Amino acid sequence: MKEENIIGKILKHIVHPRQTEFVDNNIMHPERDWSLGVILGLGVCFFGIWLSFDLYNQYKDISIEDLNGIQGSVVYRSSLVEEVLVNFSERNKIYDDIISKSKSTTFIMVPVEGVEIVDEILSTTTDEIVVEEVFVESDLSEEF
Amino acid sequence: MGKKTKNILILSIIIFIFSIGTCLFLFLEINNKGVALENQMAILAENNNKESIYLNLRRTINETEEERKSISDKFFTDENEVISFLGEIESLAPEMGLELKTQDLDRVSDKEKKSEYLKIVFTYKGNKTNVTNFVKLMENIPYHSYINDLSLKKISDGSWEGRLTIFITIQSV
Repeated sequence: MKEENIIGKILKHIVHPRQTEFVDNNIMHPERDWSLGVILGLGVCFFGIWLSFDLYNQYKDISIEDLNGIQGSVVYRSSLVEEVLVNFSERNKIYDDIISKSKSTTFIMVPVEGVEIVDEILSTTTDEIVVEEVFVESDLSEEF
Repeated sequence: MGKKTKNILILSIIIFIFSIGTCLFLFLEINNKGVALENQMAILAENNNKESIYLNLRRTINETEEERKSISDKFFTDENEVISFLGEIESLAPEMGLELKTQDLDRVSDKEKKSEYLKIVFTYKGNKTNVTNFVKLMENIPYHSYINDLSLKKISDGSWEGRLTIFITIQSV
């Protein structure tokens, strides 16, 4: 009978649970409060560890070589300079050649190679040394 | 809760807040220092680059001194060179069998090319060979120059007259 009552009560309670029968009357719960405090402390601790690790990762790889400073180099076109110097030395050679021939006492006036003569009146205005282009080819036998 | 317990609780809360605040402050300070470090590293990299460029430039200047001097000699820099050149041409003309006159001597500027030139106009007379030789001579003077205008005319006595305009670059120092 007693067992039936207990079972009956259990069943009754399951079907119709009454809150008033399970009110926590304790004021303090040390285990619960300690657990909460420890968990909170650990959480703060882990957050701090993560933040420290993040800051460390952010700044550990800084180096001067990785940073892009002014990109520039000295541009000296030595091939162009050489070309110019060769060109001027050739001009010098022709110039000196003409001068030395003109100063020679046995100088025989001969036409300089590359220049042809016409009998017409010619004039031109150009911005470059294109004297050769001004002359028209003619039969040299007529000249001599 | 007893009074002592309450005091301990309040004290521990204060210490906790103070610790958290100190940690946050330190983290912010570290972050700021990190940003400052990045800026300083960038400045340092820039300075290193500038120094490297300066050293390269100085080395290039030292190594190319002769070449630059050679090129610099191809330009008129002062009036003495002009007078010397004109004197040389005028003394050469009789040796080449030419009657030479310097018709015009002027300093002109080209705004497009941003250069200054000495404009010289020669008129000369002689046989055609001498006249052509003179043209060739002027084409090959040892200065940076160009012939702007050339005209040749055969005159009645069989000789030739020429009029040549040449522009020689002046290097402004």
